[in-house]
Amino acid sequence: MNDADGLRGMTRQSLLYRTAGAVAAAAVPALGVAGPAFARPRSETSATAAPVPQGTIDFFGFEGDDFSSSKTLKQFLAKTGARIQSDFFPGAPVPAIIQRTHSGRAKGVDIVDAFTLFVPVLDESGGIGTYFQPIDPAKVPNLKRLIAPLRGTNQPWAVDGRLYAVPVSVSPNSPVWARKRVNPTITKWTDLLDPRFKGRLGFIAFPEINYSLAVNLLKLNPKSHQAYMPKTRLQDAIDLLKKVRANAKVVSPSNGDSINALNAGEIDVIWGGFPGIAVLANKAKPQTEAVFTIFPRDGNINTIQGWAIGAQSDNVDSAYAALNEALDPRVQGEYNNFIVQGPAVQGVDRFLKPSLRAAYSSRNIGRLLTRFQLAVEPPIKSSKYVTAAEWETAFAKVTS
Amino acid sequence: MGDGIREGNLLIRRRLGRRRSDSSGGGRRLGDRLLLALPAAAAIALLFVTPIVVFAVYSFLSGSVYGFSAHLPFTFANYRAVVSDPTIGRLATNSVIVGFAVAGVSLAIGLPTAFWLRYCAGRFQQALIFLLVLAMFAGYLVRIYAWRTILGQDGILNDALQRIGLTSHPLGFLVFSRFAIVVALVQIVLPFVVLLLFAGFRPIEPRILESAQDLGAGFLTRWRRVVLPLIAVPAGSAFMLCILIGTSDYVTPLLLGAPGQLTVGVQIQRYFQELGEYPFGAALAMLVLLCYGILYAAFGLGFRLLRLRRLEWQT
Repeated sequence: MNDADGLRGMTRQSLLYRTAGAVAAAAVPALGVAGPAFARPRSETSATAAPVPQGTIDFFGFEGDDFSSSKTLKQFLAKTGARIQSDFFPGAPVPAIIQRTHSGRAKGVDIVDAFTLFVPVLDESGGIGTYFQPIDPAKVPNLKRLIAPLRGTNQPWAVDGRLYAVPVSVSPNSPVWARKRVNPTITKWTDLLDPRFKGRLGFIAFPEINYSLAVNLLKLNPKSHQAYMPKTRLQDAIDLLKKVRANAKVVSPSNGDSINALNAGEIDVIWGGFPGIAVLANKAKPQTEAVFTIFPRDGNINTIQGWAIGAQSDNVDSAYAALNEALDPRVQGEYNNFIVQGPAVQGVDRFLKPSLRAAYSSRNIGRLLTRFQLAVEPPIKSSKYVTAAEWETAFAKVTS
Repeated sequence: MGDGIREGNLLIRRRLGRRRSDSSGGGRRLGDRLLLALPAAAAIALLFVTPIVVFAVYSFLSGSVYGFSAHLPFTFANYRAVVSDPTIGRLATNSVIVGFAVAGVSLAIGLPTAFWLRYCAGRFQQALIFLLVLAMFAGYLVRIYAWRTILGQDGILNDALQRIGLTSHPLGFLVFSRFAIVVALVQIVLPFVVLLLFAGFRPIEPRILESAQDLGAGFLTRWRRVVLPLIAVPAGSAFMLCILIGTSDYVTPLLLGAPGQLTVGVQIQRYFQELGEYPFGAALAMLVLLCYGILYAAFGLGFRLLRLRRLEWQT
């Protein structure tokens, strides 16, 4: 299950931004998801209770319009003349959402493509209601399709029993490596600490991913479903990342930069990556034969991509309509084939490309969600857990 | 010879002009001059002084993570935290090493290049200056990634070295190293350095060098006793410019540096863009600015003590 063979030709949020569309144009036909074999069954059309979309739906997110990889979603919107207008996070997402809201430019933003791990930290930063509206489940009939671990309001994306985001895709992280240059196969994260990778490792310097990854790998907070780091274990996490750094040739500020280094032959393995990196590396340079680990044996984290409805949305019903449609199994299949992530709903497997189905079927995603912790954004204030500022300082020590 | 006469005439005209303006008008002229300077002064105040003042105030205010603002009460805590943080000390050391290396290399290349352009390039002078300016048109990031292609493991340079048999395997230190950071930054600042030095050489007439030669000064003596004292002030400005760019740049170290070679600019960017802790970032930025100020003052004092500034005016 370590092979991503054939999963080529698509991207993921924060990887490509604006190039995603171009990649999609080439990738979607190649994935074979648009053929007649996938004619949409009547039973999977959106429920009638969902509002009808109209006008422009303003979208603010990582990739903006990666969901445009779904022909079905586009057709659904086109029926009523509605369309999605995308805007992109200019940098790290949480600061982007906060700054945009506080500068008054969030007016009219209908959908925010927020990793659901942002909800708690946004709630801390002025109240979640400042940024997102509570989700009305009655307007999203497809919520019932969510896979079991993502259902209910006992989730980090719910505040006071009300949902503020809806999961649309699940992204497990994974070591990524160039198969031709790495032998034997990598089966766990800590393989990357082996001396044989000295000077061959790329270290993606995203503080929040490394925070959660360290918590899970070191079992720093094993009883929690979310990977919050106890203050007492900060030094353990620093020590782990120092070992990563000791092997690193490059500390990459972005996913794209690590792909560049992998394809240039500067590094052979990437710490802190996810399947989309392998896929994009192969798209740019097939000779790299980048692959990823689906079930790292020593642990992993899951990042849940979710959609939220902007607090100052001026087209709320259309946002609900698009959100409901995004949970349609066929749309889910098209989108996840494109982005190489796992579906958030059941009944998607037959729409997934075989190699993706082998890695991230609904069932597998359910298992991953049970087995691995959810990635979190460090809290702003906490007496118990390492905060964002403390982690930033510690992480700077490691990478500087 | 012709050059010398032209420049001599120019000098005389400038001096006469200065005398005429000094002898007439008095207070009214002074008022006119102040009035004329007002738009430029206002622009400078608005574009340069205001942001610094705002930063200075921010640096004494309180803030919070993801606050993206600053608020009362006033505090020295930001400065205390910056000064006591060993990570920032390490980043500052990296910045200083990179800055001085970039400045030294740029000046070592820029000085002879500007000299050659001024005195030897002849009719190709304008075309070569145009080419120099053209080199600045390429995008900053494009240039950094171009260096990765050139210096990389399978890059052009390593490939060439192996083909001609100078090395048997790729040299690992060429990229993701301090060497790569310095090379890329030198390439970025070099056009500015050459232009600054070229402008510095402009008033130094060829006949001055010819006179030195006629008096028996060899090549090295001419450089040591004539060229360097005359070009010292512009060279100091160029050096300072390189230090400013070399120490404050954070993108190049991020993309071409190895782990442990990041600079203080990276941390400033993190505080502003990622954590939204403006007061802390402002305090760090103000301390960096203070260091620049001290360095600038040291240069000025050094020139004054060595009377280098007077030498420049005498030409």
